[in-house]
Amino acid sequence: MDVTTEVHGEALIHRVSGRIDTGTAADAERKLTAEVRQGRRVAMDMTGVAYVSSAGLRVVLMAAKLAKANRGAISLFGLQATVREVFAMSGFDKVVTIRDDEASALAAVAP
Amino acid sequence: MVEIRLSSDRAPEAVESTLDAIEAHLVAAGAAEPEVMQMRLVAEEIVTNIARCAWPEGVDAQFHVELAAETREAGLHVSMTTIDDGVAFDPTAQAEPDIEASLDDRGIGGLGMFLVREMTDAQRYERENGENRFRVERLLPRG
Repeated sequence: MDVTTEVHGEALIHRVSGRIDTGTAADAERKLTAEVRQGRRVAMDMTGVAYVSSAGLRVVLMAAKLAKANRGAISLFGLQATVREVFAMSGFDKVVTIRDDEASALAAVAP
Repeated sequence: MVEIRLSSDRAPEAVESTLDAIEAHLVAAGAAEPEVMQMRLVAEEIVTNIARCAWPEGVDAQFHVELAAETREAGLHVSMTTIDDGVAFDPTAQAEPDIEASLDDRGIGGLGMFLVREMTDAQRYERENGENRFRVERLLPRG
């Protein structure tokens, strides 16, 4: 899995691609929690993510908890249908902010 | 009916190859992309759990996966059975995660097996001759 990061005003966008699963979870954790640990405001572009298993959900949950603990913010957008289904099934759509598009995801993390 | 039997050791690379083989097999059997991804997820949750937890850390061991895909009138019937001689573990008897919990209270425990139950039509666990046999089934409707 790969992450590229763009700066958008006070917020960052992590553009994520590939799979977030058992094999990539450690790498994903490093890449997706570094900024929220600093209290940054992050929107995660999930358009390029075709697969998230429970190992991937754990990383997202950790990022959301770190964002809250460090007074940052996090939102996700562009979830593919199968990925969105996994989030809904596990109730993660209730603990993580999910938006349809980039503009609303950025608005959701704005101070 | 297409059937394969895979054997894997506990190394992450071996587990990954096993999951790739399961995915390739389902694609070859004619399953559609979203369902292939769901079944890979089911396989990942079950197989990863076995590789990590069935034996004490550091113990060399092998487990097996039997995968069958059968074309029926209603669609492609997929069944997957994992066989391991590790510690007895009944995936059907695990506590449900609290999927209504708030962010602060939300944990990750039990989520993998919860997804397995949600994404398959039937699950059956047997402990026989010192082996765990866990079978899941799912009918993938015709597209």
